[in-house]
Amino acid sequence: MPLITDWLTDPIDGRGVHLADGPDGGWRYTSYSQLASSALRIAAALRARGVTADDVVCVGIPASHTCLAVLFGAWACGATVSILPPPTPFQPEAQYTAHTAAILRQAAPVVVVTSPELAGPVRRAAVEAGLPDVLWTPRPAEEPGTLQPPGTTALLQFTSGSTGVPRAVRVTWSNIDANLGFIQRRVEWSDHDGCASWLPLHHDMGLIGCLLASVARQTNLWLMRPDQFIRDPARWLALFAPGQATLSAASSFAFEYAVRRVPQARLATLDLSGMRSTVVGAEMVDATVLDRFARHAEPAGFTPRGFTPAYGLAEHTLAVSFAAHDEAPRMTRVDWSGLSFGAPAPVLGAGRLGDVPLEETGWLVGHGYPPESEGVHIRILDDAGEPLPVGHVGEIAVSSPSVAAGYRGADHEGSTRFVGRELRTGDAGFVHDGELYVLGRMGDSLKLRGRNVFVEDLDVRVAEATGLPKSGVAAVSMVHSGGQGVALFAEAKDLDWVPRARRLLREELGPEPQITIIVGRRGLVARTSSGKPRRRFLWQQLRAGSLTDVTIDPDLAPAGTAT
Amino acid sequence: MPAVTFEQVAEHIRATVPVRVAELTPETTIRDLALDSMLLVEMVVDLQEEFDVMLSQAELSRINTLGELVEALRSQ
Repeated sequence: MPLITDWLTDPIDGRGVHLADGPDGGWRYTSYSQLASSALRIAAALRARGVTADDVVCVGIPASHTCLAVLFGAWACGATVSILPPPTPFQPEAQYTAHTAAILRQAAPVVVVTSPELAGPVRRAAVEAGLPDVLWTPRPAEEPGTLQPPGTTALLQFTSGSTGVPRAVRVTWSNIDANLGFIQRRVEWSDHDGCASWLPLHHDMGLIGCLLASVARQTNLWLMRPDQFIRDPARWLALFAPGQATLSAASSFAFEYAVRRVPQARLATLDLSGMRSTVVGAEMVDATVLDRFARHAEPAGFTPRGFTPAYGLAEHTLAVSFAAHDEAPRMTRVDWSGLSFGAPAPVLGAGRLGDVPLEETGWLVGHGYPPESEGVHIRILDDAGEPLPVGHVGEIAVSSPSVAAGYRGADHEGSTRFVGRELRTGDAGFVHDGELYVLGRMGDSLKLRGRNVFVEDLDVRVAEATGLPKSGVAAVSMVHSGGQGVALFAEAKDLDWVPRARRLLREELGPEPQITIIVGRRGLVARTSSGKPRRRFLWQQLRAGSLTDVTIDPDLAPAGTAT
Repeated sequence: MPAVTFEQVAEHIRATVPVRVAELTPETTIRDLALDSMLLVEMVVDLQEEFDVMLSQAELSRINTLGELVEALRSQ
């Protein structure tokens, strides 16, 4: 089996990684030979600390030469890597420390590698987790180490969730091999391609889709940190001039942001004609955002063929399905008011991005469909787990060599779950005209900018903030034609607490998702015999308008206006 | 350079990121702004450029209100 470490003993000449942290805001180039040498010397140092196959090495270092050397050094030991997310701006240190400590308790690392930028808070987290002795500041050994045979698990990929016990997906070495091969065949990744990424390395699309795909394939990579992209999104776009980067991956957010922050006059000085395929995923792909960017960037030589919408999730290593990389994305328009789980999707129209005006709402972007030869089998299932006819809306289930080995950590009551060797994604979708369409999370979580928000966490927080009993509240995630939202169902006699609940949900979710609060009497929050809220049932009731005797407090103010 | 005023900061925040609060005051908390992490990065980057200062993660982690944010921008 090809491994992500194979190149370390035979790095290719003349290619490498361009890091965005060079002097004077420029690029710093590290050849694959230099990176291999650093990684093998880190591997020797890690071996001297006793690191061996399947030991967990946690890495909390911003994207840099050192960070990459540590990642591949740990993999060269056959170890399992887990990347610690950095703190977000304004995040109180106590909160970051507590969350990181919870991750460390789950990961049980033998070594936690940090650099000066994060050493303070990560050290406090390690102490809080009872692991004060595993901290290590990377120091390469004098002599390079030798490649060790891998263990079973290559990566512990933590999924978000701000309260409770964090949960990690166990991604095996063979999962990564399978998914990288799949990605590279779908976008026809060649030796001459180069990838430009600003996605964080603690995120699966940044780590696997951009970093590992490039390094394992030994093709050029331009690597920025998210804050560098935010500071200057045109710097990312400038990489697609002919002769540089040809591939990338990003969420719809990147394109929305670029339209907002890169004026057309600046864009006109760029040449995006080298962009062969940017995989768009990590959250619901927003057709209107892609359309706006394509029009905005047209003077720079961009066409909608540059977009490759894709569907994936960490539990499937990364990618599940890609649209064709060499054509403008296909779309269908659905009647959102008529969407119902288990019923045929009410398709109203079809078109290609760029060819049809998008004044009407309800356009969905197609995600292609994996060809038979890839061994990625998709089924659309009803509530009972039985397959539905083609065109019906149901839960997307996948079986393939990329299905991860399972979770590490407490059993989350999440709707993404492993059933035998099949992954039940917890995402609703349907297949139309040979393409997979994804409607997103229904019920128990939302995906915002690639971050999973578990509504179970919201229940706990709302109960704390309002004083309502936890048994009387349930948040339900929704998708609608304008995006994502949350409906909070609460059993209460008065409405005094509603502003507090709304404020808390807004803090947790950010400005975009729609928030609806439904207040009723006891019994409103339907529960299973074991006491779990029946979120999909609540979702269906609200959607069908069959709730009686309730007060609905709708979300009236769109982001940007005063409430 | 003249001292940074609260009004300048508030106006700049309003102009750059979608804020759902009617009135920004020195007591408004960062959490009240209800911005996700990408938008918070955007806000910090904008403020740093506008007022020509650099704030470290450690400094940011101690800031709760807009008044404190203005103080931090002023103190450099």
